[in-house]
Amino acid sequence: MRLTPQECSAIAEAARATLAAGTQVSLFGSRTDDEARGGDIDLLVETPLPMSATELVARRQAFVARLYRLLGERRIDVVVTSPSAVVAPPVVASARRQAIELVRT
Amino acid sequence: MTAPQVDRLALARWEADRHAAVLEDALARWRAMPTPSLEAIESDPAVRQLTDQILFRFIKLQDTMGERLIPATLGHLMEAFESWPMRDRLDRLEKLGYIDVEAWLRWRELRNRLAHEYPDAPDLRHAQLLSAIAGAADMLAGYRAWAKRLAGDA
Repeated sequence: MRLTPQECSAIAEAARATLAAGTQVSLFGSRTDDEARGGDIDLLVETPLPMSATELVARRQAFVARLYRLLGERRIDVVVTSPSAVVAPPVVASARRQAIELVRT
Repeated sequence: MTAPQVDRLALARWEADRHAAVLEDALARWRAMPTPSLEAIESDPAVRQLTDQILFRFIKLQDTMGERLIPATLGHLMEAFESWPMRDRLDRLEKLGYIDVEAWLRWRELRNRLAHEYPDAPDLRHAQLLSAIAGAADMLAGYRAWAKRLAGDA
């Protein structure tokens, strides 16, 4: 996994500040590969309770804005899924296969 | 010779004002109708055009604020900002009362999100669009307050 300790703690801090209790945040994508270089920070956010699309969008916005504040603006892609599964399942299924858990709020 | 700071600020304001005026007009037309469904946004040519106009001006106004107004304002305030990273520039402007950094970063997130499509998730596509339009309205208000403060400082 290619994240610095500072990036990991920023993700944990942003998650605790903006996401519901019991939410799990995992890393997926190229940053899970130690041999790759650069790349977006791809995060899979799995919430414990169903969420409306409006709430999902608002939570993601607050989470990413907080990450920008803590890390400076950079390429961060956040896929949010909840038991109501608003997001296309193939994206989530593929993310889950690679996911490395970072934090549970 | 470097252009005087006042010119850079006037230029930034001129450019931002043009985007702000079109955005304000488009948002007024948006508010004058009931919130459209995703189907209306995607298939009614007039609604689609209005939505595109709001999003386009949201992007343009944000770019002008980020690339021109921020440095021009700091220059106008005689801040030695040239070597500062964006985070420090934003923090300074927040301290000076020009911007709410958390809000600015939410507008940045909205703008970065506009590149994403959700072909299999119409609810999400709709919510994302409505959130971007609400963000555009907030950002316009943020710009107006910024301009007002500048006028007071001038």
